[in-house]
Amino acid sequence: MSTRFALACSALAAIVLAATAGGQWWDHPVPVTAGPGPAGAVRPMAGSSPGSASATPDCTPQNLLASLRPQGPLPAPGQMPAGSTMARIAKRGHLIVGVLEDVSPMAVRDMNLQLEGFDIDIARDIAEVIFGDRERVVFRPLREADRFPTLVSGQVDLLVAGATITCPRREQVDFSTVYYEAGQRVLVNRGSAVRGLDDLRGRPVCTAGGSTSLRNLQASPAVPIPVVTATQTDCLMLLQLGKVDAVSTDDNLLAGMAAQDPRTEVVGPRFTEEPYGVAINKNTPDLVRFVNAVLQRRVEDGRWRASYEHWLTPLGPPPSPPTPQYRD
Amino acid sequence: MTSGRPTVQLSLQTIGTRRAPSGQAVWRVRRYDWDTTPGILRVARIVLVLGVLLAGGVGVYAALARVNTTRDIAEHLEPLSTTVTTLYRSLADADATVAAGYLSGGVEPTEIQTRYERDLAAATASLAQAGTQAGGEQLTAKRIADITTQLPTYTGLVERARANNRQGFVVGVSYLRRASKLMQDSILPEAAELQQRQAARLDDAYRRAGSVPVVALAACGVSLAGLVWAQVFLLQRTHRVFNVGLVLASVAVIAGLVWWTVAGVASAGSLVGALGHSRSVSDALAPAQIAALQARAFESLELVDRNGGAIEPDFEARMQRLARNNGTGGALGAAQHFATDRQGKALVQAAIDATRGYAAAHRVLRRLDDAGEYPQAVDAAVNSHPASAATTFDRLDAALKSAVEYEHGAFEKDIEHARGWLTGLPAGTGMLALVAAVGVVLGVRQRLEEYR
Repeated sequence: MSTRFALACSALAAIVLAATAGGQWWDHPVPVTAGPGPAGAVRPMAGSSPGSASATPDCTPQNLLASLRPQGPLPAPGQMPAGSTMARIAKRGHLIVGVLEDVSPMAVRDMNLQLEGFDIDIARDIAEVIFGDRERVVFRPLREADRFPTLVSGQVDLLVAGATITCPRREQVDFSTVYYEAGQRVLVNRGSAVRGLDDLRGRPVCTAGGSTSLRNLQASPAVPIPVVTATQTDCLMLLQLGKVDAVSTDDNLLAGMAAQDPRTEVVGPRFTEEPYGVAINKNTPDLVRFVNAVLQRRVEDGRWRASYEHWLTPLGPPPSPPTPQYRD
Repeated sequence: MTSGRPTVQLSLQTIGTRRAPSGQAVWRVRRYDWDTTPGILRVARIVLVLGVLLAGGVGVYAALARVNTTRDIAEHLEPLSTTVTTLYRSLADADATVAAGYLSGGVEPTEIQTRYERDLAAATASLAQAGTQAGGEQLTAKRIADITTQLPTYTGLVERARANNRQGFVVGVSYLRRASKLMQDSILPEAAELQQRQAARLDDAYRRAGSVPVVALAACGVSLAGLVWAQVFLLQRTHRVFNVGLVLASVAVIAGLVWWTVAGVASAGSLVGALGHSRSVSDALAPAQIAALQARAFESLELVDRNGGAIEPDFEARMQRLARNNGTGGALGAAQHFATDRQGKALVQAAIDATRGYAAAHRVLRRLDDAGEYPQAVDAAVNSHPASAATTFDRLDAALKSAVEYEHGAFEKDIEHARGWLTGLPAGTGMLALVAAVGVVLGVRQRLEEYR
């Protein structure tokens, strides 16, 4: 079987998946079905990652998180290697980063309408290495569904937009090493008897429509009643209005909600793994290696930890940073 | 009416020599009467008196109906219509104001807070007023009750949105979107239904008040024909040209006919004018105001709500509803058709121009937002620069408001004219009928006496 044929097959598979998932195909690598079968194989914590079910020869659970290894030390600001993607960006004068907006605490607007957050810190750190100036970033706010098409079409240099690394996505774009390991947990009102997902059998639990969180809830053996909203933040509102007993999504987002309402808390263990990576176009591998070097350095110099402490305090003391996995 | 039979019997007693069992006797008497002039005159007198009185009764009834319907329009239906339009507008304005205020980042300018409070006060007052004005109208009362129940939910959501926004919490956006959705999808459609219902009732009233008074005119015509016949008959039988009584009666009937024609035509003309101005507001300018306010609300919401789905199509749809095809279509195109005079047309044209200005300002801010220049886009939406979306929108809003005020003023003038033309018509019709009846009685008696 030729490579070309294999590519055609996987492209076809992607189209079929897109059709069954209804739009945001990257959030639904597999159509939602109950019971056994290839789709049912995706069980939270059962596989090692949400993308594992759609593994292709190029992408396996083992190599899913391995990204291109940095080559040599980082160049000094303003001295990007000639002909490199970074040199092109430097010449343009600013880095263009696709982000999600109003996703506390990853990217939110401050009083002066400037973006800030855990994702934004990463984008600014990358700009600082290229330009020696944290401000030389143009943020392109994107809706969730527009993230990957915008990147693939080359309108942004990279995405720092809470993107979970999955195999279907890796067919489209490259990912950096993991910069944050999210996991799905539960947010409840303080004083609630609910201490985790298992206490939510038959009770209304909110999450955003079209999200992996929703799929996980539907597949959960605890059998909660999912209540679906347009955005994850809407769930905090429903919790405050007493319409749901809990909110369940990635713990970083829950931390963002808890920061907006001291009467809520994040409870229970993580029951999924959502490795977040910076998404970069496949045709700029030098940028992937460069970003990985930046990510590695900000772990080493303590910036990762400082950013975590600043944005994710409701989750408790920072864990050890994710260990980068590389391929050559 | 009751005098009919006794009068016939009276004539029977005076003339009849052969009394027979009743039914047949009357028949024979009548046959006998037709042969002599006095007999014919006696019957003609009865028929003519009854005729003019009947015509008068019909006329008085029709005149009263017209006066009442016109008063109903001026004092009841139109005020209710205005109240409902005010309600609809205030609600849409509140929503647009809140969304625009949200863009100011928690510290809302005083004028925005004042405007929102004024809108809510106007909406609450309109609801109470409409409730009283609607009286026993079941469906209207139900819609009013529905809106009244939902309004506190809306304001509650708005307050939570503001409180969160004040602290920089993004969950405020969720509350704002929920509030706006409640307003756009539930409250405003109810208000729209209320308004359409009201417009339909008004339309119906206008049709009733402005129709050609067929029955009244026909009754006059028949009476006049009878009077003319009587005079021709007398001329032939008695060879006397004038009978003062019958001439008086004819003049009274002709006066009634002329009065009815003039008042009917003139009041109908004024009513048509009033209806045009009224519909210009209810069918064109008020919908234009609502569409503009909704567009503005969507514009702000699009800048506030970054993840809730595409909003620009909603904005576009409202702008299309407001004006399209270079101002010839949409609500403002309709307003241009309704406008009857130069000033009215000029005011609508000003609104069309203002729409263009606002659309241009919107395009500028969309371009900024799409280019990732969010703070600049927000600034373009709220600042007081002459070309900003806020300023151009206020200009559009003001243009629409003055067009509405002008049309409403024109309506009031027309409805006053219509009422003026109808003044005295019921009483006048009755008086003329009485004069005509007296004229007939006197005139015929004068001739009859000559046969003694």
